[in-house]
Amino acid sequence: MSQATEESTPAMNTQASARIGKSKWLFRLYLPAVFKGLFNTFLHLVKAKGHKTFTIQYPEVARPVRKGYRGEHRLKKDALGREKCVACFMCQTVCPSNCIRIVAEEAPWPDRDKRPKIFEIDMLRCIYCGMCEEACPCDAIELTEKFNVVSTTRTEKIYNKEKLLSN
Amino acid sequence: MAEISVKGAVSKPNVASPHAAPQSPTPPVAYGEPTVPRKASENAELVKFKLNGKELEVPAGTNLIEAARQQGVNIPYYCYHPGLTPAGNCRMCLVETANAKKPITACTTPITRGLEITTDSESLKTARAGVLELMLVNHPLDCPICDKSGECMLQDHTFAHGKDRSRMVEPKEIKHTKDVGNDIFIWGNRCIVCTRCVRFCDEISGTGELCVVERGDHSVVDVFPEYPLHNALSGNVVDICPVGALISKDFLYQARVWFQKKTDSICTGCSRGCNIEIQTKDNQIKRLVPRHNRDVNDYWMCDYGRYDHSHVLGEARSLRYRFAGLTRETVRSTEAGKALAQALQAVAQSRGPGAVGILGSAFHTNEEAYLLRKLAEALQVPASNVGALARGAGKEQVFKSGFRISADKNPNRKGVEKILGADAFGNAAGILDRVRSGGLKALLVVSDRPHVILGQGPGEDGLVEALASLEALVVLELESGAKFPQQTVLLPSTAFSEKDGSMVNDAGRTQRLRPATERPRAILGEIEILQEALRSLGKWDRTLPAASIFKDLAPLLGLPGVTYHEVGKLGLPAGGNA
Repeated sequence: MSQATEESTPAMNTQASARIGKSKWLFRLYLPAVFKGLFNTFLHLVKAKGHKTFTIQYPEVARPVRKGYRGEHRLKKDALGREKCVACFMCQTVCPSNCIRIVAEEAPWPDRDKRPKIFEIDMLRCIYCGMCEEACPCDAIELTEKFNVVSTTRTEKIYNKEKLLSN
Repeated sequence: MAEISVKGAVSKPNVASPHAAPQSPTPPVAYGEPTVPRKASENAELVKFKLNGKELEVPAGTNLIEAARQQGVNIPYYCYHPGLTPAGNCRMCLVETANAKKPITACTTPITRGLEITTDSESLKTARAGVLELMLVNHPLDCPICDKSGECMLQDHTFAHGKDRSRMVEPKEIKHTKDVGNDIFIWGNRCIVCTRCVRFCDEISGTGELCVVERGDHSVVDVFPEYPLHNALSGNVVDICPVGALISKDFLYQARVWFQKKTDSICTGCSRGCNIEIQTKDNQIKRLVPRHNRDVNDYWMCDYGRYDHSHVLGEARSLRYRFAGLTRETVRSTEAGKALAQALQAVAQSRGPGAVGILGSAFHTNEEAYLLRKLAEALQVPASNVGALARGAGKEQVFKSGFRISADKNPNRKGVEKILGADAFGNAAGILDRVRSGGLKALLVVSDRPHVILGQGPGEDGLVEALASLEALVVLELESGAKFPQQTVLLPSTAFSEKDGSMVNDAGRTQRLRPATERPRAILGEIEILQEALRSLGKWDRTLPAASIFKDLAPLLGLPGVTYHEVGKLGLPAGGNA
């Protein structure tokens, strides 16, 4: 090692040599440090037995989801199994990524006037902000805890009403 | 000339069929003298009055709401409408005056000398909040599914002047929801009994179908038994309803109003040229609503024009291309115009220009008619061979307020006459006769429904065979349906909501059409195709927008030096800005 390099790292050299004694050649050999590191690893291996581990074996083990997690959307149903949505377009209006498309129609039921004929969410555009859930006056849309969103085509990621109702 | 069915109110297939109530045999006789809204007369003297301590000068008799609005002071109201007589029954426009102890209604107060008006005192705020609270006692909270939501005056005023919650604990009054006419539903629960619609039917249409039934809390707008709301202006009651009590079946659940793109244009249903707003969403016309123009249609439009927009994206809309050299690449390209020009030019050269006929229509904008004129000049077609097709006359209807539906269903008859020649419409029959007799060898037809005119209409026998014997036939059609001979050059044309251009109404007023929807599959319009044809004949430099073409044709309309921009939203009368 050249004189210039030694001069460039004086602080490290002095600290390290202070730890392993004054022997500068032993430090240069690196072997004490290697064995010290290996010992530390071995110590953790022994200590870890019976202790809590933090790694989750995903996907074999499901990752726990906290309350309020915003995953995939779901359209809720009422007691009679009909969609609660009345196609008021509030979610479409508030959606910042413009991923909701609704077409309304007249409801066939006597207790309400309007329902969605088409309700589509483009999951590729969605940013999972949850504004749709907040804007909904009928509590008809919610974000579930589903986050395992995998598909092989883009068209699969446009969720229609049936998919959202069964989600 | 073939009679074409007059534009009628088109009922959409997805809308519930009109109820079983019988057609009213004759419209009920309008009662009383014709009433006019209380407006200051033209030469009223100027009087001084005070508005919130500020001294102002307006013509005597000006309505207080209008006078305040001019000063930027918005007095809230429901029952007042500038096109109707004031009723003073909603009590929302209460203002205070030094001359009276109690608040007075602004809508029924004409400006007089020395009037002192306060519009923003604390007691007035309390009064307005109280009025609103009483209106909301029975009004349902169904804004999410109400079509008026977003343009509802009750929403706006409650937000600005009302309380944020209701103290009402009793059950709400339930009123009728019913079908009252061709296109109208009454949602009784939402009605705030402002009687705008009742006054409209009394004063404007003069038919008086609507009335208020029941009393107190139960009062609601209704029709008389067996007299449904069947008049040609009925759609206007939906526009003037300040809440969602009167709902159009045509627009029911079609779109939320805040998503709609609004374009100022004019109606092409008849020669009146009513000023309208085309409201579109996702490139589809959702509804047409009237736009205020004091000199043409005031605040109203008729139902024939209002519901006649389904053809724009209808089944019959033609997107057919057929010309020599047509490939996937040359479609929509400049080749279409070239094909048109070549077909006509070949005949003009071999048989002489007298063998070429050009048929426009009364649905052209002035710009398109001007390009046809240029094409005729380029091919040296004689004036007697340039004609324009017109629709047959319909029925004229004049209403109590003076609103008129013209019998002439050709929106730009005057403009086309000024540009293609005063006898253009007279020439059309002669041109078709010469096609039958074999005098003409080439024909260019630019029309919205050429199949009706060219042979498939009633009483046009012999024309189909005659068309087949033509050496060149070029058709620009809006709606397909005709079987033209194999060698016909076929091109699509544009609908009224896709055109940029100007038209002249029956009073000689030049008004503008603005494009509200994009053309389906990006087809070329007549304006581009004709310019391209002229260019291939060496008579045109480059494709220009309508504004540039208008500059050239303005002198023909009697508006020399007027630019497209100066025609503006409300149009210009015949003499220019006079």
